[in-house]
Formats: sequence, C-alpha cells, structure tokens
Amino acid sequence: MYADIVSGFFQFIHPFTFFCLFSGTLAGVIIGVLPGLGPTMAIAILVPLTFNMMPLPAMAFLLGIYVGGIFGGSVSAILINTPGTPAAAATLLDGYPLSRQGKAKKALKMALYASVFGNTFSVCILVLITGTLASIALKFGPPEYAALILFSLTVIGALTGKSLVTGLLSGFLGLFLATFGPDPVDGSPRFSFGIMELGDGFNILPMMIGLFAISEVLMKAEKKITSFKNSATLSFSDKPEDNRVSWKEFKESLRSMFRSSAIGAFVGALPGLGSGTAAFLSYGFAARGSKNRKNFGKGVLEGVAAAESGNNAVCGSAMIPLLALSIPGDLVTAVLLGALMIHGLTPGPLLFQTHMDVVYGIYMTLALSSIVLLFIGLLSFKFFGFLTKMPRYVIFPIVVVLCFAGSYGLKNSLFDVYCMFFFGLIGYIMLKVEFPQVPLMIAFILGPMLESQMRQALLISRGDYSIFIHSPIAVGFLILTFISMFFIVYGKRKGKL
Amino acid sequence: MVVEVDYFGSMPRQFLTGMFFVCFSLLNLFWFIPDQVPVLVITDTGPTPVTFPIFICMAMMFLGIILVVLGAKELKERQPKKAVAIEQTSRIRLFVSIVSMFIYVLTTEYLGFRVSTFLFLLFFSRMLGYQKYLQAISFSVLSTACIYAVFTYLIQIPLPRGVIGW
Repeated sequence: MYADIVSGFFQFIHPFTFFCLFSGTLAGVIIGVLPGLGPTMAIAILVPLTFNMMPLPAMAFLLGIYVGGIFGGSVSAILINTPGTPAAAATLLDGYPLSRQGKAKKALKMALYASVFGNTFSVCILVLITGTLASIALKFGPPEYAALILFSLTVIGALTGKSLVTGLLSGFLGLFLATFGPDPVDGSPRFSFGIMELGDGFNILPMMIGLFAISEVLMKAEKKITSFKNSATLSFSDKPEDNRVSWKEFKESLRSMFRSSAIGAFVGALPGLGSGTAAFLSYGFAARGSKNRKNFGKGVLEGVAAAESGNNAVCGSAMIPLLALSIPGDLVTAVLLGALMIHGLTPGPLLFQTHMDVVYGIYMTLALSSIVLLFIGLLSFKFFGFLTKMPRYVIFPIVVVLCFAGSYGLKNSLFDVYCMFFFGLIGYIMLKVEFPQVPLMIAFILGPMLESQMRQALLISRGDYSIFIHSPIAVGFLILTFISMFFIVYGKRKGKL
Repeated sequence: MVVEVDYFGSMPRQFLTGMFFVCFSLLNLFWFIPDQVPVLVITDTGPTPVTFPIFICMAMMFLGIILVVLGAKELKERQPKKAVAIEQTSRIRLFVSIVSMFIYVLTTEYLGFRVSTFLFLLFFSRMLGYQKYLQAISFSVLSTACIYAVFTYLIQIPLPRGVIGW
C-alpha cells in the first residue's frame, strides 16, 4: 500500500502532470464560460489530446476540465443570465441579480470560493469512502454485479428525462447499441452488416462526441441569431466592497456551504441525479434555513455560495461509484469512464488491486485541482466578460473541426468520423423529441459488463435464473431497484420528480 | 437574440417515438437478429449471443407500445391547436449544416485535412453569421493552422492528407 502511495505521489508531482492539470482546469473554465458548451462536451472533444499520455496525466487533464467546467458554467450564469451548465442554473437565481447591482465581481468571487470549498469537501469524502466500498465490491460475484448494474441503469433511466418510459427506452437503446461487435462470452460477431470496421462494434469516443457535441452544434446552427450582442450589459461598481468578499460575508455563508457540500457529496454518489439536482437542493435548503430567506432570488451572496458549493461537491463524490464500482452516476462521469477505458484502465474494485498508484494519483490530482481552480479563477476574472461575448460563428465551426480530428485520431479511420456524425444526428433527434441522452450513454458503457456478468452467472448456474435470488446481495439490489422504481413512479405522478 | 425552433410542436411526439421503437424492435427481432447474429455454439446451459439482443428488443417493443398508447390518449384529449408556423430558413440552415458536415468528411479523403477544413470553416462560419469576408478567411486560416499544428506536432496524431498530399 505504501509503495503505491509513493508511486502515485511521484507520478503526481511530475511537472507534466501539473501542467496537464493546470491546462485542463484552464480549458475547463474557458469552455464552461462559453455559452452553449459545458464540461461534458469539453471532455468529449478534448479526450483525443490525451491519446499519447500516460494514464495519470491524462486523468489530471480530464479531471481539471471537469472541475473547471463546472465552475466556468456559473460565470456566464452570473454575468449574462445564461447558465453554461445545467448545474449553474441555481447560481443564476442570486448571481445575476447581484450582477445587475454592479456586484458581479463579488458574486464571481463567492462562486469561486464556494466551488473550491465544495470540491475540497467532496474529495475528502471520496478518499474516505471509495477504498472501503471497493473492498466490499471485491466480494461481488457475477450475480451481484449484474444486479448492481441493473439497479444503476434502472434508476438512471427512470430519473433522467421527463418521462419514465422514454428514460428506460433510451437505456435499452444504449444496451442494444452495445451489443454490436463480438459477443462477450464466445466472441461470435454481432450486427456487423458486412462492414469490417463495425466488427468491433461502435467506438465509444465517436459516439460520445457525436451525441454531446455535434448534436449541440446542430441545435445551435438551426436557431436564428438575430443579434450577436448579449442582451445584458455588464457594469461593475467602483466601490471596493462591491468587488470583493469580506471575511464577514464568507463567515455568514459558511454554514450554508457546509450543508450544501454535504448535500452535493451525497447526491453525487447516487446514480442519476447529477450536479443540477445537487445545486437546486442545496439552494432550497439554504433558502429555508437562512435568516435572510426573504431576499433569496434578489441577490443574496449566500444563495450563490450554496448553489456553487452544492454543484461542485458532486465532482469528487461522483467519482466514488465510478472508481469503486465502475458505475458512472451522471453524464460527465460516464464520459470520464469512457476516457479511462480508452487509456486501458477499467475502474472498479480490481483497479484498487492492479493500479492503486493511479487511484492515489487521482485522489491527489482532485485535491490539488481545488487550489489550481482558485489560482486560475482569481487570475482570469478580467477575461470572463470577453469570453461570454464570444460569438457562436467562431465557437461552433471550431468545435466541429475538433470533433472531426478527435474521432479520426482514435484509429486513423474516417469510418469513426462518419459514426460520429451518425450519432450526432441521433443526438439531435433525441434533443428534439426530448428523449434523454444520459441513459443511452451510460447503458452503452455498462451494457457489455451487464451482459457478460449475467451470462457468467447463468453459466455458473447452468442456465438456472434463480441464481439471482440465491445471493442476498443480489436480492438486496433487486429489491432496491423495485423500491426506487416505485418511488420514482410515485414522485413523477405527483410531479415531484 | 436567439429564436427557438420547434419542428414537433404540432405533432404527437410520444406516439411517433413509440411507433418508431415498435417498428425498430420488430425489424430487429424478425430480420436483423436472425440475419446478423450467428449462433455458433448451441448450449443447453444458458443464454446464447442472441438472448440479450432479443430480450432488449422485446423490452423496447413493450415500452414503445406504452408510448404509442400514451400518445394516442394524449392525441384524443388534446384540443385542436393552430398549426405552428415553422420558419423555413431554420430548416434550410439545419439541412445545409448537415450536408456541409457530410461534404467536409467526404472531401477530406481527397483534398486533405488542411484544405477541406479551411473551406468548411469559411463556409460554416459565414453560414452562422460571420459577415466580413476578410475576417472569416483569416479566422479559417488561423484556426486550421492551429488545430493542424496541435494534432500533428504537439500530440502527434496524423490527420488525413488526401490524394494531393495536403
């Protein structure tokens, strides 16, 4: 164990890893600030830059984008009333009114401090819990794993999107697309349609780039842009107290930040909820528990702090199920899982035995990302106004070219580029018919694992399906699946979910 | 200011989506799975390579039928609405975007990454609203050069050079 910590530490303190973390965080903040782009798209289009890197620098780069992107999303919410990410929608409620009062810098600084606070808090939770969870997961056999994946997929499918049925359908579509390529048990080819490149199934990278980047470009390209100027004009107050966060103001928000970080860390570790839910829950709790509750929504600094610490606390805790169980809880972690797999690392309990150095390196990277974010955030305030005004006709053509180059670079194959555009069209149609993309992506990633675990279990039992009810853990997960389905259906009918 | 476009505003989405999934599942169950998934080893001890796809398609068909029923119900209960006028230019813009991306990939094989990327950036940025030609050309040249340099020299991923070596 100590050897792994030392090895992880030496990989972590390598200047190149630092450089990757710094550049990833910077890229994440910039892309997060640009309206219309978010951390998911940022990771999807920038993964190709890590192809030739070692796993830890690659992860440092991608985690930097994740942490920076979540914060960056709040900048455009505060400055121009347009949340860069869904998670930043709660920040907008008090951030934009502050901005209109000329206190944009104060709001941005509080958002930055709260983001750093939330992220640090969740990294502590990650370090404390993940190892224990992974050691429990080591005792899982194929039936337990299959039941766990089924539970996660059902909850994610049922929770995301407007309707339970469309969420589940999206998940099943992802599972179906995952069956393309060789059979996981006997290797028989499936759905190759005589196309040689399809013999190995769809590659995850072109698929995620298409679904999350090209579809967004098409959505934006069809919209009529009548004016390129943002409707909001930024004004900054000359008073020094309007441009900084005093210790008193920070102390007043500290209670909310602790509570919101705990909420964010809890929500992040659960499948299917994500940072948007965490931010709104945190904001709601802060509004209810504050002495200043009447002014929430009119420009209260505590509101910004609660929303930001809540949504950033998801970053670390969302890595708990990803690293310990190989189950991504939301879209960004699904994309991160895809990126890890491209680097030959499969998260899960075995990662804690075979690549413990990388796990420790990831912990250290995430912990340092808070400091890097603070540093970059404080230095880049001046440029945020400029970035939010970046016109779409500059951003989106470049995004398409990056998508092309990234998809091509995976295998030097134009087939992957065509696949990317194909999934881009599918993603566009999904957005149009309000069909959730998250379950499709997560099911596509977990599909092969689910099938192989189920079939291994059935091979062990010689085709007897009762193997799934002979294991108490598997039964526990199946009961959890039914209970959560019941509550989700009930909540959706009542309009609470 | 951005104008939102909704092509499906006057159409029963649930019904159409459900119908699509029912047809898609039937197509798979009766054509693609028997045709594209050979069962090489037949065992009596558990599922074969077709079991999982068949199970998924049946589940999709079941959920698709639910959507069709829900959509039909919604259609019955819905008050007749005025037809939503969809702006023709939005459709054209979308169509042109898709076609230009497709042509971009297609021409890369022959013209190479640099030439086709320059042409695509110039066309696409103009289509999205870049009004000044000279600026659009400079933007296209600079962006192409930067992306090419990053991929080819910095991270050493070769990009297609086309038949003329560009």
